[in-house]
Amino acid sequence: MPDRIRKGPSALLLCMMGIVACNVRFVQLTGAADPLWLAPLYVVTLAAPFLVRFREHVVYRGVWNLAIVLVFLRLVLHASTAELAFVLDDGLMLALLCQVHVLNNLRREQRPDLLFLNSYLIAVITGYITVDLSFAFTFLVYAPLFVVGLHLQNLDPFHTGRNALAVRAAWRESLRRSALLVGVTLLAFFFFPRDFDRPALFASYFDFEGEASTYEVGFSPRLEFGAIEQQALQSDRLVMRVDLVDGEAGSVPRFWRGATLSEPTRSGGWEAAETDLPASSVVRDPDWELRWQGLRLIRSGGAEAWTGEVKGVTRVRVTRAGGTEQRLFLPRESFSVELDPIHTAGELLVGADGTAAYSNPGELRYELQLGREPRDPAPRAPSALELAPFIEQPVSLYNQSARTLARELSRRLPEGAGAVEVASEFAAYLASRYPYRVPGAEGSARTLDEFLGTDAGGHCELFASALATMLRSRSIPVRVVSGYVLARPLPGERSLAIRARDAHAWVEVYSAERGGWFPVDPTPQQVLSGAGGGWLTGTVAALEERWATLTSFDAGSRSRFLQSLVSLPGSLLRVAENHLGPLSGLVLLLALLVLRARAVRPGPPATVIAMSRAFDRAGLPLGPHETPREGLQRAHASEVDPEQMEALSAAVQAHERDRYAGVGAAQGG
Amino acid sequence: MKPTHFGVKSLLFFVAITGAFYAAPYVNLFFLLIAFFGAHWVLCAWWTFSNLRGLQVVIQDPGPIPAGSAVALDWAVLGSRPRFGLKLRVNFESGVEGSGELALSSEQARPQLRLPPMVRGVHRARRVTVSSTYPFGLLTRTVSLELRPEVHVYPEPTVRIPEAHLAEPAATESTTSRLGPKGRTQPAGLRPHVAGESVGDIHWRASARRGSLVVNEWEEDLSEERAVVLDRRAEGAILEQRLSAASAAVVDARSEGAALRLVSQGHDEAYSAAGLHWDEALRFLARAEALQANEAPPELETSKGARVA
Repeated sequence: MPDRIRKGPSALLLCMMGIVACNVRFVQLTGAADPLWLAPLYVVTLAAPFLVRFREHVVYRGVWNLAIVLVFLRLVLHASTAELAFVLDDGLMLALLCQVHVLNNLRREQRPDLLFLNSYLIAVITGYITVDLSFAFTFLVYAPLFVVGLHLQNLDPFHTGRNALAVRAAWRESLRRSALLVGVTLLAFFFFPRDFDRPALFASYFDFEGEASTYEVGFSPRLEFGAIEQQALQSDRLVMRVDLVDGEAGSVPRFWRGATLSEPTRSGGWEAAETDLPASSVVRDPDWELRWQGLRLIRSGGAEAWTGEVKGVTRVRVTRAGGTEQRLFLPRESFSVELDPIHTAGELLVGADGTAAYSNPGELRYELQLGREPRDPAPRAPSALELAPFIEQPVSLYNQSARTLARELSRRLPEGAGAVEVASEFAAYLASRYPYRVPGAEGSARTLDEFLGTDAGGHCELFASALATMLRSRSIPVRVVSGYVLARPLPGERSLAIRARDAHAWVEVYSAERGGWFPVDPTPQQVLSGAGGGWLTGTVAALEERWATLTSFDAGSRSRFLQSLVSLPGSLLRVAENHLGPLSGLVLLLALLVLRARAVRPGPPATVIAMSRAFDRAGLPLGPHETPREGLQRAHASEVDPEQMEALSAAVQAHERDRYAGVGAAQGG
Repeated sequence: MKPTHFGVKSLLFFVAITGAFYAAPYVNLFFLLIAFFGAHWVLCAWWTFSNLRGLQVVIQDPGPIPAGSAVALDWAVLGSRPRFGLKLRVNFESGVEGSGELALSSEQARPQLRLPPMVRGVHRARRVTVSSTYPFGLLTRTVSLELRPEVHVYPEPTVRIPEAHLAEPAATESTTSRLGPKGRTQPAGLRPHVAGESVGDIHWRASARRGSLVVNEWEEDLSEERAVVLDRRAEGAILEQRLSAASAAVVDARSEGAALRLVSQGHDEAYSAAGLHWDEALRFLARAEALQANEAPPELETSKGARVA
């Protein structure tokens, strides 16, 4: 049996190449690896049909195997030294490496079973981690390739490489079947009662704590300068989707808190307080009350205080992507947090600083009610002890510039300026004076002193850290907040996406005048300009909205869908009643089209078709103006095979019998 | 229907990811992917089943085939509906097994059933099955067909019988007279010479008279008759040798288009293009059985002019 792969790419190999390319894309969506790592994998995957011809070359094999071993060792080394949460990333990369290696070393007699199953495993893990729209697109490419690949693999032992007809037929049939398969899957997805009220069997194994949370790409509960992973912070991975239930998209707050960092580190960064802060309303802000067996949070004082002040409460439904994250990202303006009924396995946990978390990791859905915080008519003045943790000076050697700058800027302010005024002035100065640089950009500042003392610029964490240090040097209570910033919504947009690259850091300043904390963002605002316009952006937003209905589909969605189905006949009747004239015209037009289609001249008789095929089989197709008898004479002169000649004569005779009722039938001789 | 090796691996994989699904916190896309994988299994079962549903197969009668030679029989799938990835398997009562494959059934497809070398005899099919793992290779379905083809395997033709095996004077012989070139006996006239013809056939005197080369036109000697007398009163190797010699004579006659008479105990038939086909003689040789030594010898009544060696 000849080695078909050596001669050129087979349909199966091309299909496999597509599957592995989809795998690389899946992994890219999770942000598990630097694009620089993935680029060579893309190249060797797409070049596989070309590279297989060198497979037997000793030098090529040596280089290839060496590279594979080195990358493998690198992954093992990283997995053994990194945090537990990184094991998932390394595992994905390892699976991907395996795919690329198998693809480039697939032999003719080798069945690519492993490649199929491994590819699906990568898709499953990716589907667990991400809810990105790009996943939908990639899967829509992957699914047909998977089905077509299985067809071709099954036919491969029949030497279909030399049977183009069979390969084409298999492609056609398998593409049709792919569509059917996707349809059946969606039906199962919609109608299967899968709103499981079940605890995860091994939920505790997914309960990563402490440092493991730094796995979360983009968001970090700890600021450490000089240790920025550029690709992580710029990842397009979807972290959350915010779907508007009631209200306007413009009224959805932009800043979504994840963690408050009140303790400066020795290296100039910030982290959450290690010890329990005093349980006062100053620290615990927002102050939550747990309701409904730990499934709902209500701001202290009750929702009535909030709803009484605002007309039309904004309600949003949040879907946080799966993964190891347990934190709930909430705007300060939230006054009610309610978990989706499917989350009965765990409970809500409230931190000392007012941030919230869910006891189990994984995909999480919750609904928020948002409003304007009511003013306390007689705010309680906090004690110095309560405020002390938020005035503590960073002991780092690298923040002298911040103190100096704060002193200089304070001279511009009037005597007795309040926290609000000072914070605004400092923030405005930082935003206008210092350039923004993406995290990890070459030449950007790595310490606070470098940031404030040069034009190197920096990212949001440096701006926030500078402002916090400056304010604390003026004895103004402040804490750094890390979370996400929401892009400005497009007009009419009702489904908003928050991606890993939207991770942000800002500060909250305590004001006795306001009776609480208020956010201040010193990062230049043009950096956070949000979504642009244009039809493409609008289309993507619309698609993302549709995709969100799939990723957040639950029992409620199914109920609404079924109700709409039940009410469909009534709706159609109402439409018919209201638009009787146009509808009648449409029906008439359709009827005319059907009649016209039926009136189309029928095709040639069967005997003519048979005769034409007989001439074609003999390799002597009839010319445009050639009669059957002329064709027969030409066949005689061409010394056609006697059997074919006989078949031709019979076909012509049948045609003439049919047409002339036997008059003048051709004689075979 | 039963799972293939790949099917078993795929099932284990399915079980593993379903276990992981229940072990991990609920995620919609995870469920979607499991639903896709489950649906592909369910549809695979239906598609594998329907690929062989209502299948009709014909195996072309190959005619008698020589012993000791691998042969291939033509077979086809009836109907216009395309069928993919079919494996035809025929088990003969003699234990011989033949198989053939078809990637896609169509009018143009010419699949073949490959048979290994077989011994002389009539081989009847015990079981004919068609199996397929199409489309995904996860499940295999096998269907038994009603077909019971027979294959007549005639003795491998030999040209010469070793003298040592001719134990009795009246034993088998094949008789062919060779009086003229290629069995021709007398000239019937003259015709122009055609390039490539033997120089020995040229009639030089007539050529000189006409000024162009002419050759003798020979006609068949109608008075000659080829006859094979087969005495089956022998056993084992001797009988097989005789049958081989007889089959060589039949095959020669068939290739030359010459009439042949085959005489044996209880058998006396003439074979020609116009009458009974030579293949029937080969079928007789395929199923010929040994007789006891006390049976009567075969009797040959020859026409005038015929010579029997």
